[in-house]
Amino acid sequence: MTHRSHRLLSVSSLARVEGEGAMQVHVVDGEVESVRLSIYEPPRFFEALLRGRRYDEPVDITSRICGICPVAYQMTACQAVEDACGVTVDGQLAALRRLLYCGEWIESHSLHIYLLHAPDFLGLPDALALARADRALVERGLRLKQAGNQIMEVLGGRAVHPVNVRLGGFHQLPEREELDRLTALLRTARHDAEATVAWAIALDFPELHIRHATLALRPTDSYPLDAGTPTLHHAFSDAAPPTVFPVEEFEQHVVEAQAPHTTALTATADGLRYLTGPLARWRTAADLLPPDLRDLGSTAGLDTACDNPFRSIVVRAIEVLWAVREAQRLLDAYEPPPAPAVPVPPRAGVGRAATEAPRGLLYHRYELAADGTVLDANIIPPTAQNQSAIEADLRDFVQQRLHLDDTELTRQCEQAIRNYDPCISCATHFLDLTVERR
Amino acid sequence: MGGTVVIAIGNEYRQDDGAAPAALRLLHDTCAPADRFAHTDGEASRLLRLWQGRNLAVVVDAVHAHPGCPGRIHRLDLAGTALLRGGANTHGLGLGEAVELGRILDLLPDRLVVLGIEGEHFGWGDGLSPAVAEAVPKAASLVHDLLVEAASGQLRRPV
Repeated sequence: MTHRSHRLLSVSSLARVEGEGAMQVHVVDGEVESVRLSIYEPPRFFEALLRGRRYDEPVDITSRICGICPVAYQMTACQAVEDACGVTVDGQLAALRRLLYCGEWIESHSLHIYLLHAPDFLGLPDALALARADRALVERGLRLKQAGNQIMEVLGGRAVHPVNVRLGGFHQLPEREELDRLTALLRTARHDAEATVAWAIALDFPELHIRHATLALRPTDSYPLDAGTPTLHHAFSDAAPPTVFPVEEFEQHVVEAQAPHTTALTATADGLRYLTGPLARWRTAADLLPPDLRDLGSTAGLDTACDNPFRSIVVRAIEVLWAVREAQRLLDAYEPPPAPAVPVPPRAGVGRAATEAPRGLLYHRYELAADGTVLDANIIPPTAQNQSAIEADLRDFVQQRLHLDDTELTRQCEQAIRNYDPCISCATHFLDLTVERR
Repeated sequence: MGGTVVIAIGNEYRQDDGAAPAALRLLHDTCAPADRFAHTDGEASRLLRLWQGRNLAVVVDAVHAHPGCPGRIHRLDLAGTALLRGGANTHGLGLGEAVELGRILDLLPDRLVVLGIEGEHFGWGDGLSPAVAEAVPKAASLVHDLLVEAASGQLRRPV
């Protein structure tokens, strides 16, 4: 099989990713001719759905785009509409929003690290085999994920598609006792997150080095989460200063296009294929982490420009620990604001916002009429931005592994794809692998 | 913890996938004797948390069957039965994996009953197909009977 001149690998339904997609690899005379990541989940037309709706509806409608990262959509939608209305939410309301976002990072990353990605590194087929082999490990992952869940339930009203977020803040403020329970829960979560980093650092990482540009937000004083300036590094190896542009100019730099093999749009930034997500954040803002967390990264072999996507699991583990500590900090400093929300009166205008969803940069733009009717909307989710980079990485990855039989090559390709934690539900879904060797 | 929980899995904006939430609303509105009603997306760790430590958990979900008969109700008592994995979900691990993970980690309730309502249409939009809408009160009635049985202490572990 490995000596055939023409080869086709096909994964018709990717496992352990969010959504539905397929991958096709064509090998001709020992050279990878093409790699196509096909997203076949039907397009969902959310932007069209938003047109004509009231300006306070995108926060709830867009949360339905994803069951794993609804808060990212809510936070970005709120900020973009508030931007159009000329309102900035700050102080304790902004802190509560940030706390909610920390909950989502903790939950989403813990799910991916323990239940979706860890089996790959341990040579196991799935989370069930992992639970049989190392019960304590999976229990720790579930505990950590639960901590994130609890934050989302307390602040969001429920963990799935939270209902307590509104323009200007929240419908209802949390009770002190509820926050005290979170504080207690986060003490255990912090130990679990520290253990997660120690465990992730000790994993064996296959070699793969990528060459893409990276795009992430860079805040002035903290690791990127709910704010920051879009920062485009032109390549991992490029020591030149990055291109930095305001969110208002996002669509002048990031251009989406339709490819025939996928229902998701693909994107380029300043004409470059690029990656967003944990590696991009690490590249852009690791220096903004507390020194001890930066040191943990160094211990794990993460230099400033870590270009091995397999090590993204370490970045995620560090991000979970950072999010737990940030949540603790926010809870310690919390004082109830005078009202659950500030007024956001409508006005005609265009508003934009970008935040860091667990999988990467998420951008929203809304154009409003004077009465608040949504005239136009644009949403650029992280997986759509990453799709071209994933395909390019897989091309290199497969080329170096053509000696493997189809079964093993398919398994390794799926592992490589999971490095990016693709959310095809957002992009629009995920994997089904076909490798054609001709 | 003990007690009973009714868990509805499904998305009411995906047509017949909303069958379980509809049954849950019916049970809630008629004050069925459950200690907790929960609506979730079927993600495994959320299911584990919802049913962990309960005497009885009843999970209602929409299902596909081939060949299908929309509105048909399937009942599975899962205390001693493996549930086939690989159902339709977008989060990597779904109901089947949750049951097996619960079994491995000792996180299953004393009794776990799954009621599957066969759907017909799962496209975008709300509203149930007529056959599925007709099945919803029947499924709710089955859940109600299980809850009453549990409340009266007549709940029997399956043999």
